[in-house]
Amino acid sequence: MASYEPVLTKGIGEADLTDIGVYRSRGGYEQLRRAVREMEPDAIVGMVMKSNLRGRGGAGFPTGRKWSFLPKDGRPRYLVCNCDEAEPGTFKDRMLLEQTPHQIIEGIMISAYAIKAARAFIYIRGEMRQGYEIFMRALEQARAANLVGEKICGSDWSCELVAHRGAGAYICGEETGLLNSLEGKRGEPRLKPPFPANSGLYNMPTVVNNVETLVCVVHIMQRGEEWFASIGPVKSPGPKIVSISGHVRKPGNYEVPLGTPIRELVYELAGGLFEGRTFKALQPGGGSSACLFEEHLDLPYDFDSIAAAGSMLGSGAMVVMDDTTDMLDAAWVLQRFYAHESCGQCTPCREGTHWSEAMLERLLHGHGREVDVSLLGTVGDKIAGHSLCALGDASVPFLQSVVKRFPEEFLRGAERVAAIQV
Amino acid sequence: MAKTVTVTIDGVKVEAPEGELMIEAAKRIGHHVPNFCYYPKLEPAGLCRMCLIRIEGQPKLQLGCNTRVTDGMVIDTISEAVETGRRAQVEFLLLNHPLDCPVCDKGGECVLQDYAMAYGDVASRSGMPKMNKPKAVDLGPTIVLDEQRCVLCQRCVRFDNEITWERNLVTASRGVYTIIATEGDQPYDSYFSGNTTELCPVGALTSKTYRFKARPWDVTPTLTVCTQCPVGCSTFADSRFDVLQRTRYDHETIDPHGDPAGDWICDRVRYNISYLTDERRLNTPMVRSGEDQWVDLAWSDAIDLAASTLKDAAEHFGPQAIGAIGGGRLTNQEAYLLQHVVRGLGSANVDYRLHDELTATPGRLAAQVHDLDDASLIIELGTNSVELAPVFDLRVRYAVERRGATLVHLGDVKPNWPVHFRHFPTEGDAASMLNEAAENVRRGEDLPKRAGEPPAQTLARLLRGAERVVVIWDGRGASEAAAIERLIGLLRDADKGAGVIVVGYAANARGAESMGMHPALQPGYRPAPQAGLDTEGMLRASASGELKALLIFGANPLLAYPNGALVRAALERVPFIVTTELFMTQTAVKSHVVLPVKAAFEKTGSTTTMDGEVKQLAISCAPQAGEPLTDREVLALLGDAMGLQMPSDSELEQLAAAAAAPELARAFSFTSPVLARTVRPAATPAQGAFTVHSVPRLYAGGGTSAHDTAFEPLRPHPTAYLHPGDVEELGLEDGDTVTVRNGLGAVDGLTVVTSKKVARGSIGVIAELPEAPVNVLADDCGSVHADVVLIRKGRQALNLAGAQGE
Ligand SMILES: Cc1cc2nc3c(=O)[nH]c(=O)nc-3n(C[C@H](O)[C@H](O)[C@H](O)COP(=O)(O)O)c2cc1C
Ligand code: SF4
Ligand code: SF4
Ligand code: SF4
Ligand code: FES
Repeated sequence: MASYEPVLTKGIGEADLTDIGVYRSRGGYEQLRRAVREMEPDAIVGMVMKSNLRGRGGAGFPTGRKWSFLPKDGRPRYLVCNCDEAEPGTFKDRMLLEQTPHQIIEGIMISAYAIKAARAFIYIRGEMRQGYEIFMRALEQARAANLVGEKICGSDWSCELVAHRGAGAYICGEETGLLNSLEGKRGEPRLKPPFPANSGLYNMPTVVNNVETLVCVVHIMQRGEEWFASIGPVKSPGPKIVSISGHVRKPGNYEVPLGTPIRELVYELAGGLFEGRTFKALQPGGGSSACLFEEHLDLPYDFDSIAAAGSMLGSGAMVVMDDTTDMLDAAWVLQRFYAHESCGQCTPCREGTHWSEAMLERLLHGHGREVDVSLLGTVGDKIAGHSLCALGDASVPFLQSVVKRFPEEFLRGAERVAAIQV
Repeated sequence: MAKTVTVTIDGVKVEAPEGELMIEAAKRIGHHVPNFCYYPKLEPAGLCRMCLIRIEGQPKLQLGCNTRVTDGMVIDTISEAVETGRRAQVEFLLLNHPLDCPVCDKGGECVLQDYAMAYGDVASRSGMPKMNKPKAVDLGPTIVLDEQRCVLCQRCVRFDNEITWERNLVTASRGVYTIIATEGDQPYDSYFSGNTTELCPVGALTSKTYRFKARPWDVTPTLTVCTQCPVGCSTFADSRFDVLQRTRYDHETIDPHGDPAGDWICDRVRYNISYLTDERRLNTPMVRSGEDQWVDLAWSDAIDLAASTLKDAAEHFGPQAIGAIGGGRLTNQEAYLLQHVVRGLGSANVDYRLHDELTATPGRLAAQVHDLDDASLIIELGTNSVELAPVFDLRVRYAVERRGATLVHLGDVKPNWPVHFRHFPTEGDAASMLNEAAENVRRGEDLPKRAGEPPAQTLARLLRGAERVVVIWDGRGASEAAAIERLIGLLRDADKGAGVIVVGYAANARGAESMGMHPALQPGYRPAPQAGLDTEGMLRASASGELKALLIFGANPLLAYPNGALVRAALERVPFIVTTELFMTQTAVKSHVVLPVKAAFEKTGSTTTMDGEVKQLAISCAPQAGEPLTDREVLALLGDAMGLQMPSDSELEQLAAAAAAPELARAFSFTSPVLARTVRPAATPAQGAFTVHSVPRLYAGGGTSAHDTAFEPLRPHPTAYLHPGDVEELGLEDGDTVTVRNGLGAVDGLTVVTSKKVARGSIGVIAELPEAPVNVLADDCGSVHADVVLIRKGRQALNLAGAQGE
């Protein structure tokens, strides 16, 4: 672990990477140049495929496979970089945006070239105003340097990159909600099929990738797909930025090879817990992931190991909770988030998230019923697997995992009503 | 044709077209997959999650409404897992649903009720108060919304977005607070709004006219046809105690195949039905006894009077002194009888054409309505299908939005299309533009596209690039007819698909034409041995005193005929006019004998749609007062009283059916020389600074729409549409009241609406409004000029239904 040298976050804090001169002096944009001048697009797709890169946006879908789904029917294709980052606990894309925007542009342009995109877009979360401004300055510099726009780096390839600011809805991070929003429509997910690969932005074949995913592509180009594939577990390789927050001494973004044990992340990198506290639980992959507990601390932090333990790596956001955490309170806060962010289109998510929130609120104020505690689990089962998009599903795991593990913390909210009923 | 695949549904092997939606495939074995948001005429939306089914080999339940069958698929629509999934959705939907079924209009035909019985629990587990969402939200002139009852299936929103393309309805807010709302909080104002009440699976959308009126189990449904415009939509009429309560399209019966672009109905037939029981309805025959004095007559006396007077006139002045004008209210059988009576008296003066049309039958040059489904270029001239054939217009919109067909309107007032179209102003001469474009195509020169090129050149380019062309025309104008014939000939010679659809002004015009309600055509389009006078000819002969007796059956020429001066002079002068009517219309007031008749919903007979399809009317209700007869009965009585040889009922059915045979219509040519019309002497048009265009409006008219209190709020307000530049120059503002006048007459009480849909120097005035008849400004059927005079500053209460400005 000590031997790992960061690549995605390299230079952050040392040099002003928002300046194109600085970025270039450190080898920046060389890979874009090499790609468009020396490589066939399909060769790049092949490299990404072999690297086993899996998407860093949440679902962990193999990026090369996603790219290869695009139909070869001559319709214009689009690449969309998802920088909406609103998953509770996640703040890695924001750091990349604010600290190393050129790396993002390079990743986008290489990937756009690889999939032969007619145009590329980046959708930036509305609240990231500063990041947006930094990015726009970087984009201007890149355009002036012929790295975006017409005949890039003197090749025959031209591609515009358009930046769009969101307006503050979590659901606009879901790829089809994002596409609707980008088209100027109400930000609500689309029914699938059709999938974006076939009918995405303006009904054209579209790839949506997370910021970090596209940044990884720059390094796959630079160091080779074998290098990438050799980091960490075979099926889930590569460097990963983990946003660690909650009850730790040194919250922050840490770049590690996938497969690093969770204990190392919490106790070494993030500095461990505060004096006198004991570990209670953690969410390994953002607000949408089920909790892991003491017994999971020695698991390797990678997609498949976390999934096998019943949770998910998600966006790579670790929220650590110590013994001071009231799980009822925590569950209510998160459930309120999902109920608030539900777009309201489909029945189970619209009604179910609100129902759970209401029950939690009632329990929190001591007005709950005992049956509410078991209903919390039942309602989750009614939502999961039935919703139109993954937001509905995402509202369930954390709640179910903590109700199951700490039922007494929830039942406490029903004591008063139980007493009256007796 | 899609390949057929075999799938196993609930253990039963079924053949289905590959790619068919599972929910449809299940119907093949009679299994109903519960659903709220699915609707065969709309795109799948996957919102309600009620249609869950299980596909073998897939871990998650799938949607019946968005999964397409492939060969060998094994599907469960009935199983424990599926039922559990559905029960979850019903429980969710009932969490905040008011369950006020006893006072809900949908009670008895509500799917939520059905599913609550099938999948719901007896008691709620939530233990929470229900959310309060607004009830009785006034969405616009026609619709009331109960947000609490709404299950957010968005059928209404989707209909308004993907069928009408009007985009009035939206969802607002999010999560559990999501509601249905209107764009920009504007009133939901659409000719198709009523369809949403039928689409709504629950009692959330109700119509102002039907709210709280009846229960579904109290009404008797009858399948009949709307006779308000040439489209002739199939319509269910639901009556209670012989009183019509509501109309609906009921796709399950009328359109099981789910044609998204057709088989809806418009709000004219949905909301303009209370005229049937209006107290102003005529219920006894009347004879005039002096100016504005009327005396009731027994039917026998009225028929005797009419018959003897007609016979006397024929004997004294010759049969040519008798004429008949009939309208779109007549069935084919009635139209047949009317011309039969006139011809029986020895006259050939008979015509259905009240708007100076040439034809209603496209004949050899016809395109069928379904040709729009693969047309690449649609050219409309003269008419405006938005207003004159609304449900047909949905197919035009579909062609443009779903298939990318190019839509062009040649004319001087820009239509209210919600879809993209190109507008080429013609200054009253669309024929020249068509001719020029056709000539350009014929020469085959492909001039480069440039800005500012003449429209005819653009049109020529569009024509050259189009594989299939459909022309939509109102059937007016000999030069237009010739130009269309030439263009279609040219295109067909070049192996392109080309044809014309006539969208005219009267409902059963096509039926009347085929029945020989035409001075030059006998039933079945047979040329008459001796042509009689056409409408213009009869009016001229009336005005000059040669015509002595006029039968007007189901027509209001005083309001409809463009040459207002002529029709007024004519009706003043004819000594004997017999009119059959439901109401004391402008024309009826000028008659001598007025006979009360039954309305379309009260009689049987057939009617021919603009597409040539013969449809049957059925009796769905009965007049509530007096003793009106059908026009058919009146004509039979009259014929008998005059001693004419009249066909028996069964003979009449056969004659009418024979005359309506499609092959006869197909052989017809509207440019045939036998159709020569009365020559109009050149008039010296009245002077005026503005060119006046009469603008058709679906809800205008002097009959059923003017005599319906419930419909009154929807009737268009008399309006003067003026270009913003002219409004400014005249020192006017929106809402001012003006008079439009010239040497012939004045139209008073027009409200100014600024609109870019009219050109500078033009004024649009809504046609056929009895309170502001625009034809008083004309003494021929050509262009009209007049001045605009300010009467009163300031905004009057505007009726939005007719006054969509821009
Ligand atoms: C409710 C919801 C919110 C999401 N938010 C984000 C986000 O902010 N950023 C992101 O990259 N992916 C987000 N995703 C995942 C995207 O839908 C999509 O899977 C991802 O952008 C694909 O990129 P990747 O393949 O590079 O991981 C979200 C998904 C859901 C269901
Ligand atoms: S799951 Fe929630 S966020 Fe996703 S479509 Fe349904 S209501 Fe909207
Ligand atoms: S009003 Fe009716 S049709 Fe519209 S969304 Fe609600 S339930 Fe569906
Ligand atoms: S489109 Fe015409 S025929 Fe159809 S319902 Fe409307 S008025 Fe009646
Ligand atoms: S009918 Fe399939 S989701 Fe509503």
